[in-house]
Amino acid sequence: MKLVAYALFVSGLLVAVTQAAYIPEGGEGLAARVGAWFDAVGTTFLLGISQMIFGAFLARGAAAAAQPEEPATDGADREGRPAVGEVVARAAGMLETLETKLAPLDAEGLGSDAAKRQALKAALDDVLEDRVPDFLELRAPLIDTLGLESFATMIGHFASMERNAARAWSALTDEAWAEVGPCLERARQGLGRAREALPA
Amino acid sequence: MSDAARPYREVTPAAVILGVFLGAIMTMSFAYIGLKLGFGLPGSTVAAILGFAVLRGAGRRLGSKDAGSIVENNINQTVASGINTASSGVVFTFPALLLLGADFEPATVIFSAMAGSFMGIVVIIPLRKQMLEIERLRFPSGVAVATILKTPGAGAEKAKRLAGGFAIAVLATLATNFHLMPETWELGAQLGALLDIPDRGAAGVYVVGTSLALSMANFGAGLLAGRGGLAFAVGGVIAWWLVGPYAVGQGWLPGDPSGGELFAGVYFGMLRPVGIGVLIGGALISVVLAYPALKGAIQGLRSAAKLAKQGTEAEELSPKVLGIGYAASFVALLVIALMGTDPGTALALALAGTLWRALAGLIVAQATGATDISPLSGLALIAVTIFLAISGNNVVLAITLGVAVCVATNQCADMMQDLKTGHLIGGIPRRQQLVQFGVAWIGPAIAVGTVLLLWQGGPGGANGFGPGTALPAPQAGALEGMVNGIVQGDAPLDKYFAGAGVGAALSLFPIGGLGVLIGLAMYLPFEITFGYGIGCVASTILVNKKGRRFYGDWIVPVGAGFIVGEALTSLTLTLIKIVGGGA
Repeated sequence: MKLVAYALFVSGLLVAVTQAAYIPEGGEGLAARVGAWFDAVGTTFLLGISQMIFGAFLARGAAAAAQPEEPATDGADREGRPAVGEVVARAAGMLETLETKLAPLDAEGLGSDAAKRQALKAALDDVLEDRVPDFLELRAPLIDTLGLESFATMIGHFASMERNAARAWSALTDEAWAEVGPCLERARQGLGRAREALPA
Repeated sequence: MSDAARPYREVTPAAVILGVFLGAIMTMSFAYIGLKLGFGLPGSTVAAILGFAVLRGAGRRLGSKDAGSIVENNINQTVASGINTASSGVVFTFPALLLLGADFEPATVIFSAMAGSFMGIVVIIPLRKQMLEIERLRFPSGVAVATILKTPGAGAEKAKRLAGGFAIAVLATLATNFHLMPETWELGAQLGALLDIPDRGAAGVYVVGTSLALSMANFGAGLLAGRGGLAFAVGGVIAWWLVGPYAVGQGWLPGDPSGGELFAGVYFGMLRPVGIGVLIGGALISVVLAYPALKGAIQGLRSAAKLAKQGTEAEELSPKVLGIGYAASFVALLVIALMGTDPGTALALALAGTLWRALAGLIVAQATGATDISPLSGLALIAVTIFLAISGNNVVLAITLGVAVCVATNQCADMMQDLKTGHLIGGIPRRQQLVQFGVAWIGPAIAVGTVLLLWQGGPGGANGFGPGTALPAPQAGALEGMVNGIVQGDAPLDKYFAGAGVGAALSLFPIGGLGVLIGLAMYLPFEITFGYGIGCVASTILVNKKGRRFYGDWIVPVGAGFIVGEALTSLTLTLIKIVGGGA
């Protein structure tokens, strides 16, 4: 199904886009120029466009069909793909891991404790360079599962966590110790709101 | 105040003043460069590096031990590039009025450019959430600037990689500039000579069209974009290896051109106008399909505003600003239009301008987000075409409104990159946007003033630039030619309409932004798409083989070094040439 959809779409694209490139002969004025173009290649062009649209909808259908609807007891559907509930569960699990990473971080005594600064920086690097990209790999299945609107709400809170974790990293680098604690707190709050936005 | 209690420096007078100063200098210089060479230059990298030297270096020497923080320097570069962004928007449009010998009011043009500058910031309010947070577009230049800003804490290894990329780009740029290496590798021509393929007919399109820009910045942008940019590269292949040869093979190009004429016929007569249409159609359908995301983005702004009411500092601008901004920009366009036409037509122009500006904002945000390239001149041509059609070929009014829309569009592209930088270093978007609102009026005034001054520098106080002078103003010349063409009934409307149909159908396919990416690939010569595509493929292979961490550890610093190295070297060489009279 997916292969047919892609083949239809690509061949339709090639037909339509080549016809679009046709340079009409004659035709004085703008309307006449469009008319001359359509008379010469309009039918083939529309055929290509129709094929593209048909292929696109088939591809959308194939993508939707690839989304499992019924969660199985082992977290996978009959074809072994992750079930809807599992996508959300995996996302929730990742956010929980992130929370356990962020929860113990504090900014007390950073000015006098070099080892603590180093540990905090390593923890923030881990969050920003490993955990965040890990979570973002679930972006497409989460959109399919939650719908774009709910995903947008959840990811907005997640982005607030990212931004505040990044700000804590910058403040740490700039030795602005007073800023680090509040940023970590806001990052935790953002993460909490992102977890709440995921369906239970 | 003790060290522990001192607030973190972000929006400070020093950052804003330095940003305004750098932005003003860059606007004047880049307006001049735009008239001379026909392209604009980004100001963020220059401002970020100078910000380190001045804010951090000089500031700390003068006794402010926490001066030049990462987020403070981000405000400096946001202000500087936000002011400079007006230079391209003005230079691509306004000089056409002077070249056409039109009778216009300079104050109206300045007002129009200023209105455009504010409009661009408003459009970005929901798009920031959509493109950065929901769609997660890469914005390579934004990543490059963030990499520079983070250098003090990123560790020696990453700094070395950044420096390595920078050095390679400097050497490559110098090598091309001093003709030790060509700017473009004419692959097709070399293969054609080797295999005895003529540079005419269908096969000739491969010969004249297949080339590779030896630009490290282009390659670096592809590296940073990775898998997300592959559709753009595929678009270039479709345009130059399938559509062009097929169309020429069918005998659709008048005469039997060869060499440069064949290239110009295929590119300017076919691919570029179709590409512009694809961009527009693709963006239109993207708006419809992205409606739930936009709705979610606006809901996100609302919930951020609610949190702010509960005592948390607001990180986002309120959706009220969006509503008021849209209304204000509609009124501004209406006022400008009323100065040149009847109320009914003025209303239609203001409405079309407001809608087009939002669409163009989406196009540049998607295009720069995925590829780092902004199709600004093409969008300016379309804006003026729309205004000419509605106003019954009122050239002065169409170009004056075109200035507003072009400045707004460029402001969108720049602001999105700045906000991406801010996201990566922990800047607060609301602060960045408010600062940008505060200085948005400065760039347009300087850019329009600079263009007028240069025009009056000619013999008898006019004709200071244009064909045959030291400042040929190529982009404005193209707009002048197009305006004349439309007035005489000769514009490739068929290509725009057909392209829009293709773009709309492309956007229905379940790959985000496909219409805009393929349209952009058709709009550009293949040498750019090809080099960028090699970067995308290399990045994808490396990440697949070495793992995702390799992207952050190696690809980002090296790719950022490529972009920054080429940008700074090109800028320095251009300024040296212009000062020495060699350009």
